[in-house]
Amino acid sequence: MLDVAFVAILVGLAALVVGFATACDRLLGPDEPVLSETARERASRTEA
Amino acid sequence: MVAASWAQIAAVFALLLISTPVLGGYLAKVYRNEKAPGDRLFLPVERLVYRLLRIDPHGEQRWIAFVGSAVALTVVGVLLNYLVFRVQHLLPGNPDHLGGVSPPLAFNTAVSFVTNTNWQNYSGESTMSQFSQMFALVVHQFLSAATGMALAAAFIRGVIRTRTTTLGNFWVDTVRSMVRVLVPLSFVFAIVLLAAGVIDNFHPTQVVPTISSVSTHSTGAAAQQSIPGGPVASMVPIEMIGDNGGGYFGANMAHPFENPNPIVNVLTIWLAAAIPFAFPWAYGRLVGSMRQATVVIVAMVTLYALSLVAVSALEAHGNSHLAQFGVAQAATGTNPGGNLEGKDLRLGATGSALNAVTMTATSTGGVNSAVESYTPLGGGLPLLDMMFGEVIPGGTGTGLYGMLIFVMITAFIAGLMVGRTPMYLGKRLLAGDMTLAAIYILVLPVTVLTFAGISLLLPSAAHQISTTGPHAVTEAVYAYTSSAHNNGSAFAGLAGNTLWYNSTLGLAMWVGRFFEIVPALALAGSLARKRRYTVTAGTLRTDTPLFTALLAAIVVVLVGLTYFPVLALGPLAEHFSGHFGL
Repeated sequence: MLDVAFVAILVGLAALVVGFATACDRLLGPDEPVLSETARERASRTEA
Repeated sequence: MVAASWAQIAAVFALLLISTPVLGGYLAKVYRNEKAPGDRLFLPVERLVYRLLRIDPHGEQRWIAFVGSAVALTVVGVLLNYLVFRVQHLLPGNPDHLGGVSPPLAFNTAVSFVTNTNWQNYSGESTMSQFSQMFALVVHQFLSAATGMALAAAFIRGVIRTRTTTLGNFWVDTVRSMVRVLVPLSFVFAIVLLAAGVIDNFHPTQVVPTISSVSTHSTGAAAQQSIPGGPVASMVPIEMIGDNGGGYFGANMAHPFENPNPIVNVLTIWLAAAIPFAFPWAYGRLVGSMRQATVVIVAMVTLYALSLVAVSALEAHGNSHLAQFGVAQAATGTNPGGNLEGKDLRLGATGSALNAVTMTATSTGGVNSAVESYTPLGGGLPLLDMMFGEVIPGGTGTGLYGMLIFVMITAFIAGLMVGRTPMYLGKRLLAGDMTLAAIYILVLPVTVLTFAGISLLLPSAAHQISTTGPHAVTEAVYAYTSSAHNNGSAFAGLAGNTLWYNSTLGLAMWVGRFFEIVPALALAGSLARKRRYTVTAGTLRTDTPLFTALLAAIVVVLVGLTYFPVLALGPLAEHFSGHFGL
């Protein structure tokens, strides 16, 4: 019984880390602004 | 004797002076994936591993995938370890016929070794079979150290790269850390330690009559002694090089089969500090500014040296409580002098202090003396070394990125103080970055203080602590600090093999590992996406002596603000009540 409990705790802890990482990723925001900023700069260089 | 003790400190610093640039330069080549010594030997091995594990050596990962890979490796490792410990009595390599490890202890030990903590609620020679030691514990001493090095490489790429979302490949960095650094160094030093007197065999424990054969029993039976065997010399190098600290024997580096003489003592202490001090050097090479590396190294060395001098002086001065019982504490030709309770006479107070400070400052934890028997402040400083967040110099890789987060906090605070936009190496530090840095700094104190507080309040948990009063507070806080900060050293007065301590110390280790890695790598991911602004005369410089002093001060102040109350209740209260009668 204790074996099942500890294995369940380990799986739960892994899930907790995944959830925490997802929350931190949301804090950073989407990747798109980086790419769009790059595209904007490339466009401005072309114009120049 | 005193001169010999101080010679050990001089030898360690001399070795570090040589190894830091050599190893640092090599690490930079390894993580830049450029031509490096040993390519002819290591490249074919790496390619074979990539092919076997189906790793794309050119594949790149976002920060979250990088962390996800580290979690996946750890979860598989922890489950396998748990299984091995539970069924070790059914497996080969068990000459002493040891039984399976209990579920709570198996949980604690499995988490302990995969998180690079190596906290041990057991004595290896009477609990773990040789198979468990070699294939569960040692394998993860390699993998957990390589994971830390891979994470540091990713963090450095986050600082270097601009306008990208990727930080490299976790599997490639881990394989390169193993194949090019950890395995070759461990192989070489296993032979060196074997030659220096560390044992290595597959003998079962031998019960023999003592040399005198004088009975200590009332029955008149001859006195007997159990002499354990085991593959020790092959374990100790990765225990130290990987900043793991988990020893083969319960007494760890205090056991004469594991640490037989001062030469091994010096070598192992140097090995524990070698990679953590080399990483900032590699960082300087990789970012193209050795001045930035100098800031990090000087801050690390300053705090490390201050702690070392203080603990050495406190322990060499002796213990006033022992003096009142007439215990000789003055140095003579045969007595190294000082507070020798719980210490090895061959190493003396200074040799023991050198080990205790290095093992707690480097996240290794393989102590050679009972820190509980140190003077209150002498034992409190190793605790403080861990509380610094394992950054002086910290663990393999983890120490570097921990200190770099402090660097960014310093740049942020100093930038705001002088009215300049906070920037680090041309990258603006924004609110989101500082939120991640704050999470990184706060997770550990919250974990440590919560669990230690509950343990002191729970009668069943407090009962497991061998003392009462301020010393008991230090004991509980030391245990959770050591676990959460992934150090693994024990204060030595806690009977931790209970359901409560096995479970909660295991949880603290897990939180301390992953709830630090996630914000650190998220910060690296954020930095990698930023553009680099031109550094002008108006930019706050982060490569000056003033900034170095600020960095060291910020580390001390941040740790002071979070941990001072509990330090006041523990070692400080004990010192003042014991020595000055307040």
